[in-house]
Amino acid sequence: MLEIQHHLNPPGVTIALKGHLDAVTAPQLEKLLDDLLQTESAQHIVIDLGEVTFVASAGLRVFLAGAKKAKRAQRGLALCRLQPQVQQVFELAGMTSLFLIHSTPDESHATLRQRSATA
Amino acid sequence: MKPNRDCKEQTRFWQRCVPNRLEDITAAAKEAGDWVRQAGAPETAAHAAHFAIEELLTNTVQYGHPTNPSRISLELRPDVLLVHIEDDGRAFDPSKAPEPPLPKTLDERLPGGLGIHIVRQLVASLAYERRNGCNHVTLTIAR
Repeated sequence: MLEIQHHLNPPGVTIALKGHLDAVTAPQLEKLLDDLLQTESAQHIVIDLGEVTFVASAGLRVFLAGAKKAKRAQRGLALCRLQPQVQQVFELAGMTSLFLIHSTPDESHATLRQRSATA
Repeated sequence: MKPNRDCKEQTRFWQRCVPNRLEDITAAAKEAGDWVRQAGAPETAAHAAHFAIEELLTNTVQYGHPTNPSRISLELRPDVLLVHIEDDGRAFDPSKAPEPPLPKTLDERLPGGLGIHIVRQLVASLAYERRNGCNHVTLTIAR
């Protein structure tokens, strides 16, 4: 079970996830990311994982694919509020160095704005 | 009153037959993790069981083409959690799956191949046996 909410606040968007990101639910996030990457008003995408207690490899695959697509589209993507078990999965997958990971959505948005301004 | 050592140290069991559909697999994996947690084992053991069952059975359905439902059984001992998974899909030994390359740049990274890699790091040991046309995987998880 995964609940997904997103709040557009141009040029940024926050995606708030709640529940489990597994083989069944991961495609829901993939579709939303694909849709947002087609949206001009979503230049910075922040994914808030504060209420996510489980991420399977299917979820990791969506994050990796999303980050690659965002980079190609010259959009910023960051993750925030990873719970300990989710952080551990990212570390075991060697993925923490591939993402901007922050403690709060505000911190993620501020970092993406700053990077965009200096690019 | 003295603590009841016999009760505290008894081994507990849980098992399920799981139809080979992703919805049933993810539900059973979550249920297994919840059972481990409610039985008093640490969160790390509950998460490892949940993750390992989800990854191994998802892999079986996607690549092994099993005919009959798979079986999961958990054995929670005083010192360890044993997870046994049996399926009649194509022979596959997860202990011998090649390690995926983990390049440190996004451009070099290819999505996929991470599930079994992570499972092997979450468990203390992984044993495999092909017996009577079925894969038998036994995971030992510290608690």
